[in-house]
Amino acid sequence: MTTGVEGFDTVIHAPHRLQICAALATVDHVEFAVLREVLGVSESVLSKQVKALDEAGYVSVTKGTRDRRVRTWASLTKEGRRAYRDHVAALRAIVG
Amino acid sequence: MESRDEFNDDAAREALASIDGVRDGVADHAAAPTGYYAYLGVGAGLLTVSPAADAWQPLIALLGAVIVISSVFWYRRSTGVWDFGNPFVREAWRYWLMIVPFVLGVLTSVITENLAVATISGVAVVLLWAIIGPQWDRDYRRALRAAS
Repeated sequence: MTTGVEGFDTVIHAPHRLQICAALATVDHVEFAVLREVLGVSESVLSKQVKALDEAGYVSVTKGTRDRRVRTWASLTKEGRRAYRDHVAALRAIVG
Repeated sequence: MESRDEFNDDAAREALASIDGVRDGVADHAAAPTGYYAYLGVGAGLLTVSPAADAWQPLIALLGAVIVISSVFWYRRSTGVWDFGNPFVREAWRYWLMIVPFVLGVLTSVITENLAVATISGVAVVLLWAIIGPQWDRDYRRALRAAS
């Protein structure tokens, strides 16, 4: 979903969602624990924001068990990567 | 939700700065654990020696492969990130400084089938990866921070 400047995406625009996309655009896969630490948010806040990105088709979530712990990993989908790139370009266009 | 019309230059600048901060945080997490490249180098060294190891070839190749594959799990478990990266960028020249000698070492073992030559090649690969690996790791994380 975009508004105003071309590429500006209102789904990615929310601060935490923008930061999640930034983390997932830096490397291919990031574990939830790392996202929580880097963003400085709680598990519930992170889950809510990732779910919004997941529903938009921007993020893919996978779960795995290791050492009896469920580890959740997230990655950007192809569409999410493109939307993030366009949104950052829109931010740069706004800054000028 | 705030629209682009309500979104001024300062807010955009702040959003871009927050992206930089997140990228730095992820790059910090991507640091390979201590001894990682030495361990990975042992796997690569065993794979280098294996073609010339006669009857021991399957066992040495299997051990090398197990070490290389387990290193992926070690890295993922330790860092919480995984990235295939892009070796075709200028910052990745140390990556090739590890890969090219490894491939040449394997080819040498295959062609000569000489265990002494293969062992020297394998040891060279282990040392090279143990020394160059952490330097490549720093280059890689610097590139993550600089990526736009």
